[in-house]
Amino acid sequence: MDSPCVLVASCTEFSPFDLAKQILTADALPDPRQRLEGILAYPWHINTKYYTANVDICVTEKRTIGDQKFAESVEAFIVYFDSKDVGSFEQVRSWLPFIKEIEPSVQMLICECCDHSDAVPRQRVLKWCLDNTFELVELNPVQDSGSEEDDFQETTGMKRIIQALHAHTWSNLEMKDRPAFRSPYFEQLMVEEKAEKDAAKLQSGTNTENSTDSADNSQIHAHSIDNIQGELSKSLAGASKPDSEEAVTQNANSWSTSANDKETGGASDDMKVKKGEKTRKSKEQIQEEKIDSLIKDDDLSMLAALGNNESDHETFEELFAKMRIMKETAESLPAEERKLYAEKVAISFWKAIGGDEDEIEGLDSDDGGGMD
Amino acid sequence: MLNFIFLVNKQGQVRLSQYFKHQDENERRDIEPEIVKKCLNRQENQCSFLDYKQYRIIYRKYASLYFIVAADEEDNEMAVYEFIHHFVETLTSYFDKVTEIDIMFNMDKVHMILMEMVLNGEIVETNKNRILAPLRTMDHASKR
Repeated sequence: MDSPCVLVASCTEFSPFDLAKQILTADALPDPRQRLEGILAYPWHINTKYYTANVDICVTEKRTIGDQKFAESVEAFIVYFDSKDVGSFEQVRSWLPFIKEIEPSVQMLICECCDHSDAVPRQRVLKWCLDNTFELVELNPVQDSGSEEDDFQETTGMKRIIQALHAHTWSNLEMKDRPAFRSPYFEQLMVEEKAEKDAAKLQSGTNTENSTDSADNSQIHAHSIDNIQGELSKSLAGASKPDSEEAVTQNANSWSTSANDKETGGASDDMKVKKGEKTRKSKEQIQEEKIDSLIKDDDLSMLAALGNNESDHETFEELFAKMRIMKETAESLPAEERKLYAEKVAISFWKAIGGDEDEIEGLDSDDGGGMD
Repeated sequence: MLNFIFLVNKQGQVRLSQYFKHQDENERRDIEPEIVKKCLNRQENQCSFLDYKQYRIIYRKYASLYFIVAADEEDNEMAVYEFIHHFVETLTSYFDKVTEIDIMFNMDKVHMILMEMVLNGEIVETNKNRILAPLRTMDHASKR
């Protein structure tokens, strides 16, 4: 089957080939293909953002719609006339019986410039267009000086002809593969959203690192040893510097044993202590780690910062926000550990608000001593 | 209330029509071309409001497209006039410069936008972001 076509005709001296040339935006017309006698066809590839289509631009200098097969393929009709020549307009009118037969979807009446004072007044042309569903397109219209809203400036001339030809669902059009139409407006929003998210991620980079750490069990263990190392060297006064991991475990053992002793009033037998040692060791290790990891890194540094800069309201607010979390954590702990935890927090706070070191001097060591 | 809305190109082809209350098919066939003709026939310096039967027609022309709304006589014409502009602005922001071809090939989206804005012939939403929110969610989902 032949491609659908645009039939181009002229009712003046103006050559319809010129119109075809302009539609094709070519300097020279390619070699035509004769579709019928007196009807020359030039292939035109239409490429819009939604579809592509291959149509023929058929130029005729006679008043003809060819045979039925050709007539059926005509989907657009463009006719040129001169508004200063009544005869020319009459010729356009004489096209009507032919056009009525084929009823093209797109129908355009072209002229240079249609004025009210022309031989064929603008109003008459417009009315005729309306009655016969044609669109009047002027190639050189009188420019309205700024009366139109700038955002929605009307397209005129050849651009409008091409635009109108694009705004037709050609029978052989092939839709472009658009899995989903994405609004440019939304594209922009998505880009902005992504940028925001990335910025947020960057900011909370350390936090997320911590959370992934705690999610990983093996890392918790490694962490706990580290923490205990630091904590024990601090809290157990007089304890030797823990050089090896074994030494740390030793210390932890003695610490938990004494805690166990305290709990049972020191009256437990060796077996019991030994047994408790084993079970409690791991338990306490984890608890200790939990407590330390909760206040150690961020909070302590924040508290320290608070101590340096007492007037900083933001830090104080942060502190209070953390305070609530700390309280919740404390509530979830058993009585014994809650005391320890509370003490640590209290000491941190004391230091943070720049309290006298003397007041808390010995608290750590006292505690440690008691455990020893 | 708004009775119906048409989008018509300069040639007089109806590109979109939406009725907000029941209208007989035959009646539609009769009134559509009549109203379209009335609007397209008007000069640029003529008023954008006109009466047709029991309706008050409010239309605006944007480039080569006419937006025609039939409201009731007691409706505020300026409000409808502004509604048309807002509809166009919403389309413009969704499509980034809306053209006839955008409307033709995204009929579903245009109807969705209109349905977000008008319910039962009453203007129910004027916030552009909220109008476009469901479409945005849809576009987001279909992206995956």
